[in-house]
Amino acid sequence: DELSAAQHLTQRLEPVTSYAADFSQRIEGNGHVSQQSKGQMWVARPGKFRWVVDAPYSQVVVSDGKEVYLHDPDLDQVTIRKLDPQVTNTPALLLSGQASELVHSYSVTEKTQGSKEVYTLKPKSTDSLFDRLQMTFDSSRLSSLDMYDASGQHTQVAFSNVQPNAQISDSTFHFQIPKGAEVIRE
Amino acid sequence: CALSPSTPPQERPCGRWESQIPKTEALQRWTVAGKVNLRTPQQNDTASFDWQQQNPDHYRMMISGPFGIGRNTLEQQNDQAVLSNGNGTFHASSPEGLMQQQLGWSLPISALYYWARALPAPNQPYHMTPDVCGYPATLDQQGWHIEYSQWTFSDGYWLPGRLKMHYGQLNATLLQKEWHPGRYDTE
Repeated sequence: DELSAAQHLTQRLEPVTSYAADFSQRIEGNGHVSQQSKGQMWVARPGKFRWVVDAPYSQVVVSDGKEVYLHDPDLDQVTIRKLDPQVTNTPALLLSGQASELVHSYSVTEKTQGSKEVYTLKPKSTDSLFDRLQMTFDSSRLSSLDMYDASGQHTQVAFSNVQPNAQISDSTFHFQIPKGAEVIRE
Repeated sequence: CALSPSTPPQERPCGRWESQIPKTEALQRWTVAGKVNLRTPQQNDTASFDWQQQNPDHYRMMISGPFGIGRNTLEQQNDQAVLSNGNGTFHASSPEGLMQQQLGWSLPISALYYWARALPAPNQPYHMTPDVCGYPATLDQQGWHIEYSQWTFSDGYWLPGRLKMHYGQLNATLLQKEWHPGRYDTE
């Protein structure tokens, strides 16, 4: 149809202003699975997310749209950084970015397989962390994100019990610094 | 004997370390997942790592920041070290040099093959002190001072969960969270 892949993707992303989902992440490199982790994600536009990774990599990353708080409970350490483009290459921020921005900085192609629509995004800027990103929607609901980097490593983030436009309280995107934790501002 | 923060629910049996040494020394293959924090006066880096040791001469270590950003995979087979990340693939004979170049920090990987199991590297002077339970509390070797704690029991082995490593102004905390002795791939 005459709508470009980019417009199609915008149509998928634009109406969804927030997501709540479980995720499982798998990192593969030259035929070996080198890391498997899972957790929960809450995302809201613009730029807000909470990304909780379960043990053994236990980590909580929270963005209030301005600053990103990274809490490592094992090290009892909280690192605070400005929200920066480097982080935008992460699943969380991709979903909390404006669809128009996404489509502006990536060239988009589309292919459909049955109920699945797979959008392939190639970053227009060269300093991106990955060469190719694929967003897969299954019966128009986000089901996975695949990121491929220059060295051939493939990160697959599969989402389950996805709740688009979930009601998420704003406190979800505020991080409460635990008492006694070491705070590092970068 | 629960002086150091040992492993719930199993209490560390005192005196077991001595008898476990032959088995620990014989261990050549494992996977361990955890965290590493590097602190110097100028930098403070934290990363997750997945270490897959296939045999004494072949390991793969994946080091990644939050969200798996900035993933570096270091692989060594015999004397060839290869590090691959988003910027490409790099070769050298020493893993330490590659790490320093690509990560801006490094740890003595060849010695860690032993230190991670609370064993001294062979044929080099060292000094160890035991804790009240007879398990290694500290190890001094190659200029490094290592403190062992948070012992965990996994598949028949008591292994250190936390290594606090000091070398001059470098302080590293290595958390070995999930040990799988004897297993190579995470599958």
